[in-house]
Amino acid sequence: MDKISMIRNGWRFLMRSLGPGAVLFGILVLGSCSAPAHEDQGPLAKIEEHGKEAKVYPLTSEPFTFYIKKIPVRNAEDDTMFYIPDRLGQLSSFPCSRCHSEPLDHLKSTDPTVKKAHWDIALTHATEEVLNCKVCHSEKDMDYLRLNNNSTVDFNNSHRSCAQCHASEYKDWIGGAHGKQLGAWVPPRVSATCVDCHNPHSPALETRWPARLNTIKIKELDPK
Amino acid sequence: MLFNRKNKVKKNQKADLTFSEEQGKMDNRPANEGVEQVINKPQDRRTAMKGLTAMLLSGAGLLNSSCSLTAGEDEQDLAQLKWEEYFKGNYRLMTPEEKKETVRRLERMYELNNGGKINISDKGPLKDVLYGYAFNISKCRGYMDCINACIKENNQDRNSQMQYIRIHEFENGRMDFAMADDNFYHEVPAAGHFYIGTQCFHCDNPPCVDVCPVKATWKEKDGIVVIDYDWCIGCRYCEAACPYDGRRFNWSDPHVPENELNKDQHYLGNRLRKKGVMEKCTFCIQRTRSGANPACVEACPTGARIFGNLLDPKSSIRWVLENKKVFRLKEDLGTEPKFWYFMD
Repeated sequence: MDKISMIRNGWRFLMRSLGPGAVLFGILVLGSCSAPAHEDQGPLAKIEEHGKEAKVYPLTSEPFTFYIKKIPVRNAEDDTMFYIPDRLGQLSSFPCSRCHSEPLDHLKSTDPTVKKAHWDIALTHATEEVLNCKVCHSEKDMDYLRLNNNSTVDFNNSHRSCAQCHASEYKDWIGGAHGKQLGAWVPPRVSATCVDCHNPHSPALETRWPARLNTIKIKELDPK
Repeated sequence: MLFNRKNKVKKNQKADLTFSEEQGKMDNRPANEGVEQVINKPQDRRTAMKGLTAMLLSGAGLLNSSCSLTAGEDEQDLAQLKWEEYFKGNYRLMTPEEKKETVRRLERMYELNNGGKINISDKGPLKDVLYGYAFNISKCRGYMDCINACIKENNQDRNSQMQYIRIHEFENGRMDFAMADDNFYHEVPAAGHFYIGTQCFHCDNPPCVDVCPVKATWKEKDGIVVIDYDWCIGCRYCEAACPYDGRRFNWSDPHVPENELNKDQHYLGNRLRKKGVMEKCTFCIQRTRSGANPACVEACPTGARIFGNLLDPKSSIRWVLENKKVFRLKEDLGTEPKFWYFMD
């Protein structure tokens, strides 16, 4: 008897004695043991695998940002575009030229009992050597902001004025690391602009109480 | 570059193949086979009632009201729904029709129990989307607006103060979680301190999924680690396996005031949980799968939280990964979290 027929007979014997069910069971057990463990390479590998082409979504951010009047911002570096909320519509006493049509000396009151028009503005931004009103506000046309080369920019594009000093923040903002992205993660991106969070006259954020207390703290304060 | 540095491990194509095969099998499976022919067979009211009666007689009484001859139409309806819910399958194994049916049952059950209407979604993952999150530790100021928004959005238990997010306060110069103050009680930010938020990191290689004995938790195609609250047996293995304290257990029946209930729900997200099951952050699956930002991102007043599609080269999250110095917690564990921290 050659080897092959021996194996064949052995196999027949196995099938007859143990029954096909048991053999099947054995195969299943072996199969489950030798199955390769599911191992992931991590998100960065998936990113690289996926390639560089821009993604097209069946969704847009519009349903989540419809209430925002949007101003486009173009990133010259890679020709991308995103949006910021309109600013002019939020200014309470615009246009400025309604009052500021004559020289400042004429507008200033000498009567100390009269409330000043901009009583609520205190400039705590950089030092006096660096900033005064005229650095950002255009003297030529009070309805516009001033850039360092004496050209003007409108209030909706105030970020261009900020960018002249805050270059690294500006770079992060254009990229998407600084400034809150509003409403949705799908494009088109709508991001808060500088003045949505920072008061330009006093840009540092103030301290405040947290919106809530930690769970443990609540239990400590109010043990039941 | 960041991408080259991270990517030394050789690709395991075979593992990927097996995984997709497995997925395929699940999707193409005939609607009824094996034991499910018995359990999941379509029932009309009469067969269901027969079954119920049999159960009751054998001492396994599931619902008393259903047998009562005087019970109202609604009560009988509810009993029928509960019966069908009780014997439904794992969400991952359900056909699209079965998913629709369980969603409809859950909505109807809420209507019968509470009187109001809720909207439960079974929306699947978007194509070519892998969610990622970045957290700017120079920007977080410990306001905890994110936690409030999360609780409200995700219908978390108010009685036990369930929170998915934790904000830790650190002294400048050291990042040791053992030394962090999770219990701060003062105006923020405190001078000389910084803040780090943690939540579920939706690891690409999630240990919580590996340990689940009943496969009630898994990673979706868009990278979100989800839980089937109706399949979870509450053994809390996943809670123990998670190196990041990402998972929470319902020790009691969650209570959400009716007027604060978020009625836009997802089966795998913020639908109402029950006593004895796990829950955790789902990247607000009910919001993000329709394009919106998670509630924490939306609530953060500082812009410290950035969310987006990792597979989209034009997304903000990708810009952060490629241009900022990013790190993840416990990277040496190989859990591959999709949650990065960075500084200005």
